[in-house]
Amino acid sequence: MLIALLRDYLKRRPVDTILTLSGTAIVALIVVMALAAPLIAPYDPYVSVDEALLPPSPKHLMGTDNLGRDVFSRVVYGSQIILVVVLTSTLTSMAIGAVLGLVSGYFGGTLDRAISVIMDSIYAFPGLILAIAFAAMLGPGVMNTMISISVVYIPTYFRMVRGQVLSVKSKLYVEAARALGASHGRIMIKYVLPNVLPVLPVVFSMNVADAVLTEAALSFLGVGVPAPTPDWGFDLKNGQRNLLAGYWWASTFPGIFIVILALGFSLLGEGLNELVNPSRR
Amino acid sequence: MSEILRVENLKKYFPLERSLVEKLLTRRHRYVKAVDGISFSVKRGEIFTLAGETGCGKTTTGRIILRLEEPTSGRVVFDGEDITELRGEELRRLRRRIQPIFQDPYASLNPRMKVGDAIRDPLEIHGIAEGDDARSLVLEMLEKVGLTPPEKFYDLYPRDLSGGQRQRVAIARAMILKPEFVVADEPVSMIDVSLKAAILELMLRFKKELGLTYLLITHDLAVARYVTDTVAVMYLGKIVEYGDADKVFEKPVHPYTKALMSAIPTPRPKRRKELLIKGEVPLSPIDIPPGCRFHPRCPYATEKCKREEPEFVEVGKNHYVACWLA
Amino acid sequence: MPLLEVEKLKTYYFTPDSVVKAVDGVSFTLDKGEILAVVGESGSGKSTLGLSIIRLVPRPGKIVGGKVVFEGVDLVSLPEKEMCKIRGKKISAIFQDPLTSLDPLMRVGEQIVETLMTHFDVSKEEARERAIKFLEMVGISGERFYDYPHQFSGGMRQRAMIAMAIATEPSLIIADEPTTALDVVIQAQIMNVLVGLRDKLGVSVILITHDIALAMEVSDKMAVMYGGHLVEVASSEEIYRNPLHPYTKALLEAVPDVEAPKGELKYIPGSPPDLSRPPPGCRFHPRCPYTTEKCGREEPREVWLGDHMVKCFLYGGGR
Repeated sequence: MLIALLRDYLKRRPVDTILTLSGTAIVALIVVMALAAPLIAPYDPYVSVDEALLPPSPKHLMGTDNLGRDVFSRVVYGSQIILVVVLTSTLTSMAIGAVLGLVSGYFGGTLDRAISVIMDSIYAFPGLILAIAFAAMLGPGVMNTMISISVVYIPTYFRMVRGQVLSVKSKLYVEAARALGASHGRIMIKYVLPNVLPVLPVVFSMNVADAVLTEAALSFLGVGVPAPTPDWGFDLKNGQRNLLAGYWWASTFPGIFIVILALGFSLLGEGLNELVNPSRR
Repeated sequence: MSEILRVENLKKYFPLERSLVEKLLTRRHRYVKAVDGISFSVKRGEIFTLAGETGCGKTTTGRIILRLEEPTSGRVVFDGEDITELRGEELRRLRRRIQPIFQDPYASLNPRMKVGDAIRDPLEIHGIAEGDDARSLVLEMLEKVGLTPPEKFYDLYPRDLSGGQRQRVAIARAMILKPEFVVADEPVSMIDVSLKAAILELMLRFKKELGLTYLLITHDLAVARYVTDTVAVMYLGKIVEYGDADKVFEKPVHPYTKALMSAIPTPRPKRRKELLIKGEVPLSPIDIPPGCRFHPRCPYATEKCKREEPEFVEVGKNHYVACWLA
Repeated sequence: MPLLEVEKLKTYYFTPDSVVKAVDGVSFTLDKGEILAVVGESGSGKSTLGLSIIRLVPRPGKIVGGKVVFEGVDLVSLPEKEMCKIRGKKISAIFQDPLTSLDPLMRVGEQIVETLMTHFDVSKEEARERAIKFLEMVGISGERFYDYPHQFSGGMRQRAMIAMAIATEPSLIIADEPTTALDVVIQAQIMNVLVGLRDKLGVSVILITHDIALAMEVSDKMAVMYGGHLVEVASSEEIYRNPLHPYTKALLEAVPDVEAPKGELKYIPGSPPDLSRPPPGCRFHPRCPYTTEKCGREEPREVWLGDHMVKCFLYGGGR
């Protein structure tokens, strides 16, 4: 049945379907890489296994970094870190933002105004700066990085959900539920929320793309995931100082993967968006 | 027959947003006087129609009775009890006794809820039944409203159904609570002509089975004539004529009712309409003229009509008109 | 010669899942100064019929067969460039929702002027005079020439649309549910305007509606449409006195009459056909009280009893 659906989409909207499928493929690939890390990575990423700064060779597919660690292994294990951090933080943002948006939008009034003001203030900050500020405040560490990133995206989900709630709230079927005697809680969960949720997956995947870049940036600046944990952002920074001397592999490979992952989520998100909400020509 | 519902001098004014200039310069508020002082009484077991065109206030009145809207002033008395101010648990218990049927079957059902779950929800809300008991009650109800086989319809979503079928679901949802009073707002306006009677018949069957009283709200006097016992014609927030349906339809007295009746198309060939009305409908009931609110469009308006608001006069047994010319 | 002759017109919508046969072999004629009402319920294809005549069928719809002969010329095979000269000028259309048909940013009068200047070689001053003339013909005072659409009520907007439609002095106006969204009193006013135009200017009107009562009161001739087919065509008097097709009869019995005392209202069991998968044989047979085995196999042909056409085996129509 899924195949039939896919074929139908391919016929009708080939470009968007291919985009979505490519994005999904990329993400899937990286996920597989993360899950199968112990099987794929030839070496322990934390340990020096050879001379420093060896160029790519059959022994070290991506060469070694300045501490003699196998870059390929670090990239493979790095996928675990970035996926865990990014997915956890955006899911947290979504949960908190959605709940706040639902309650705020449904009840309206002063509560809504108060929360909206706070959310708008956070939203007004350039995301990266805010993340850096939080990360700097909290200090380095995986947990702190996750917190910093989630704070940045809460307003995004809040706004999306609140907007949808406002439009759903005034629909006739919600009034009908009121007339039935349903309590506010019941209406919010059974009548409003299910009609608001469809908008989330799309926002989510585009968000994750952004979060990937934010995580990399934080680690790059040294306020994210600390050494010696294999992290693409960190390695990007770490390899940078030897770049001019011609040792390009330690920086470039992690960098490429950051781009690939972000691109994957972007394509997935954009494609999904076009498929779910087709824009008229 | 005893009285089940009484509306006393009901008013609903919607304040208009004021511009900054207005806010600074005047203290005067402008209102849309959707409902401007209406009173009527509905007898238990009858079908009472509130009829009128867009903007007359009939829908707002229905919503106030359903407690979906708060009146600006006036009372609603249901079964001897003033329900205008009810809240919380008492309001919830009231809801079980007064249920709506809405106009748009495409909009009154939650698109993400299965048909069966939608009809089951009221049972759970009021703690009437749960689990398998609830399910069998729902299946029974689906059968009653003609959606058979019920097991199949239970799992469908509103988008899988036609307009007529969705309206049946809406009716099932209302009736499963065994209410006493049903407010039906344009229940068949969006249903094809060849199917209207089917839905009306379903509503009448429930009336018989549950001993219901209906408040029918509609602009379609032809449909109203077919089912109603009593009719009240509204214009710009007030009732202008009311009484026994036969009397009002047969011999309308108020110029507006007369104009309305003459304007309604009847399935007879080549009738040219003699329009007993002039001018445009006011865009909205904001600045209502003094005196009888119909006078700007009334071909018989007198000086008195322009100054004083008419009061009700009895023009026949159970037939009342608010017009100086009656 | 009749003004319009539609012959076996077919318009299908080609969707990825199926082919919707909205108009499936429709024929009728319209004389000069005649008001024809095409009556049908949802899913009958009546709106598509109107759009087909004026060649405004939206994608994925296409006219796939038949002819629409207007003033001797077949519109179906006309190149689009030629069709543009006819559309808006000799055949005008008004649709259900005047709010979306009028440009909210342009004054009402100016929209009429623009139409006139597109189709005729007139000066702006002349166009303005004519616009005012037509506005007054539909009962809108000339002073309101400079108003914007939002300053008009729904009924006035629709009348403004009519003014725009007649400003080019067309021979034919296609009105698709022009008063459905309006109150009954305004509807009566507007119908009076349309009939008045026919009387004064000799304009023919095709009124597409689901309201049989309205159709009967206003029209000279009625065409009853069901499932993409015309099942009966006759003068409205004939349809009133002597409805032949079981669907027409059932429909008339289902219409509530405000002047009749509380009587019995009938309905037609079943539901309108799915035009992507219409029933075999006669489209109405699943719901027809007189259906026979033949009705489910063969499609009945058109039977003419004088000026009265009916498509039903009860009156012949077999091979």
